[in-house]
Amino acid sequence: MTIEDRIMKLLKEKNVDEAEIFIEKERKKRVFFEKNELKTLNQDEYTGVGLRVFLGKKQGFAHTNDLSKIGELVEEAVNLARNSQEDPYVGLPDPEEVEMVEDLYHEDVEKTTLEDTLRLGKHLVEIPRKVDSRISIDSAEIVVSSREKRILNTKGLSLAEKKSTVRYFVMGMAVEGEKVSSFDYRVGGDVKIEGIEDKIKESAESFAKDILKTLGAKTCESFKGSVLLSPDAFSMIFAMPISSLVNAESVQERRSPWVGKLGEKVASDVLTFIDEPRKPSSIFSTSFDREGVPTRKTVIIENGILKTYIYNTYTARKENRKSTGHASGWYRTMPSISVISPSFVSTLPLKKIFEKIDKGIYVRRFSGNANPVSGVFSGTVKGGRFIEKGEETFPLIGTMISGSIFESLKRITAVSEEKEITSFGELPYVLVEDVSVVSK
Amino acid sequence: MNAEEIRGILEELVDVVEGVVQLRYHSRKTRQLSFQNGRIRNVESGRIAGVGVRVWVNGIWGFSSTTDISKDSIYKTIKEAFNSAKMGEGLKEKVVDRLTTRSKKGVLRVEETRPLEEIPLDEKIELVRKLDENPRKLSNKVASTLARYTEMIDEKVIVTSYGTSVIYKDSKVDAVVYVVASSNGEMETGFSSVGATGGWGELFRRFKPEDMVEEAVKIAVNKLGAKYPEGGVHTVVLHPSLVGVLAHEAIGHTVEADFVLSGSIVKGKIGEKVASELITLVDSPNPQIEKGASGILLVDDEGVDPMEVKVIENGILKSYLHDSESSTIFGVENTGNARAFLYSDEPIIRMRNTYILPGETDPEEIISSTKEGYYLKGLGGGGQADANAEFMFGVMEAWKIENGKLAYPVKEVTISGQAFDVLSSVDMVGNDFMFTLGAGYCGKHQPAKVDAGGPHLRCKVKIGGRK
Repeated sequence: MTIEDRIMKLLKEKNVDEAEIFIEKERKKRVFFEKNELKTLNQDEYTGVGLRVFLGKKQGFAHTNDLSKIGELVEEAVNLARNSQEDPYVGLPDPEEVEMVEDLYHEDVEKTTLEDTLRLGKHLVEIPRKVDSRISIDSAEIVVSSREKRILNTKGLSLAEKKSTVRYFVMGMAVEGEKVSSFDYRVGGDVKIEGIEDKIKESAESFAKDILKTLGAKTCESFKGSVLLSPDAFSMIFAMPISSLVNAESVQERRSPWVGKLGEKVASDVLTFIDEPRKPSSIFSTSFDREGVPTRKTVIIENGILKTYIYNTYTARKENRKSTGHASGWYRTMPSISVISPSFVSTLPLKKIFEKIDKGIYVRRFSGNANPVSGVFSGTVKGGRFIEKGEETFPLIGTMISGSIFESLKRITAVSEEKEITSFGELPYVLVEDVSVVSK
Repeated sequence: MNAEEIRGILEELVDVVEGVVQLRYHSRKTRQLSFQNGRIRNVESGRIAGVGVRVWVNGIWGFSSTTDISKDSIYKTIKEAFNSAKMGEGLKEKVVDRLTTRSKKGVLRVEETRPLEEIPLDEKIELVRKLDENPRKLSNKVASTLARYTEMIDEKVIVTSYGTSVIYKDSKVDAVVYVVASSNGEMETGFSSVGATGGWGELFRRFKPEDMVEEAVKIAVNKLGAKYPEGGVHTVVLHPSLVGVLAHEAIGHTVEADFVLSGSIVKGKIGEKVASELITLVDSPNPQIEKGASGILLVDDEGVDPMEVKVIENGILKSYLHDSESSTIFGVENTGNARAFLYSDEPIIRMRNTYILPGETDPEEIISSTKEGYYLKGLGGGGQADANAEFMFGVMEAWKIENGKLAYPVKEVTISGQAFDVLSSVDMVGNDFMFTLGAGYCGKHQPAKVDAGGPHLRCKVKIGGRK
């Protein structure tokens, strides 16, 4: 009997009204490097189950990776539901037809051995030091994984999706005598093995070249002006806060200042923000969400106008509408809400963006806070560079940028064609005007 | 299978391959409850268990894990870890020929006053309900509330080829309340938290739920209409909560031996003056320092008996934090800082309870003797620091000090600087002491429960302001 069948049978015995079973199975190979050297070779697999049960309008959730204790899992979820409180909006979505996103699973990833993974990992750590011996790798990792998620519920929903990914990161600094550069990192990945070596090479070289540029950094004069954000810095200051501002739970619970702002101008004309979870061959894509609702392309901000919030089933029911397919999470968590694969419409090539900058700074990493409630962002510029007349002139240290997320969104003047994979999605470089830069 | 039976199997299998072998069974039961704006948000529980196997052969670690706690499966997992390690043979340039270890035996248990498992679910739900509800009673400016309770009940069995054989049980627990206050279109946040390694008694050992509610509301409401700080370098009085953040985030990470080896700012600086002589900074696993401190550790995840480390003593850098491998590289004692979050995580160098020792001055006197500056309390948003000890922290609550008095609240304060420069600028150290980071998790590839704290300190830092 499958795990699903065993759970369903136990649920029937307990007279549970509604339930949802989420199963996740992963096999992975991982190679980890530390201080320029191989440290660990790792292989693992697990199967985990998350169970949501509904007793009337009361909900309970339990998870486990111990398949020998399915009885306890059911017992616990039912017990928690019994002890919970009623909420008229809890419940399951009605099953919908799901069209599968193409090309998310490659068997060659599943068949990749630990030895092959090690070979790829060696590329990742050797390339930066071939570029320059001053580079010191703090850590680097490559993870080759194949994952299957299955979801079924008492309303007849039954879905499964397999995904394969090769993901990597490299993190480190440049050291020259007493001089230590800022930390930097690159992340990357693909759904297949073919072509991954080229991607690793590109990331590792770009990481190395960039970090060398930050040795011997100095401060600049304080000013208010152009700030060019790397994809990573853009994700920290804008992309992640926006995703929280449009989260229907934040809106309904009055934690988002964007309550009642649908149809209003929240950003400059050049900003168009789309969630695109259905792009074939993307590590960020998925066919259905944590509740089994099909994912869809969602235009969230169009030419600066806020078009929609994003919903899971619970928040959608509160407004008597349908989920937008944004239930997020895995077997260990209840469905929450998040953007799946953020995408921004580009306006210019990066070279042209540089040409627009008379005096400004480039921010490689932003180490600070961007508060989506108060709207304030403030933090240190890492790996930054001063820009004059379209050219990078010297690296920066001891420099902070700050301002209001809401005001700065309206001062975005360019979005690059070039994109980079960050932990939050594949994002562009973005130019913002009138940002306060404090140095010295 | 109970822990003793699992220990029997692990002891039987620990010698089946060559090399150094670490076997670690870890079962974790979690519960999480939350309320927001008067409604229950989630009631969750989980159980994650498995055996993590590390085998060290000629300088390379092979690591594998299994969720099947049978003898056959653990045997296979050990073989797999061994074969993985062998695969890396010859690939490492600088290989040490041994690991530095210190074994431990016995049944270890962190003391709990009112153990979490004995507290009925009802009582926990009621706690969270009140934490969520009460802020709205305190101020009509409170627009949104969220309260959360999380517990983790851990049981480990660690058996190693160098003689460790322990059963280790502890519980980690935290509670937080989060408030949004709103007025005239302006929104501000306030936050309060408690955390402990221990039971219900340890969780509320210093602050009661009503103190948390009051604090969170006060922080959020005070920020409404508050002024912004002036940018620039200022004299500041840091509350123990920020001293803890500074000790952990900005200094602590730079002295983790893995970061030192990859070139952190303190590399080669043992014996040098790195801070004011008023500063002694410690990382300690000991339950004696304070019952309930979240970073209490009775054995580390390599099965090593952990020890207290004086990182900085009277301003002089004395020691880094080590695991079995880094201690061999540096030729020093293993401090027992290797920790793993789950059975499937590999032990890496992490802090435990990191703090600055108290000095002699009454904290009130520190403020009253400050003509102009800021009083800063609590971490607001994520704190970050770099290998060169450059840090930047958001501040949750801040007051302008004028003529020795807290004059008015200010908001959106961020502080930055180089942590050792900041510690060198310390001219007054309070005679008080508090652990304050108990609800927090440190993130470094994987989470870890830590604590940090200290006394009040007066020093100079850069404040980010609006130009």
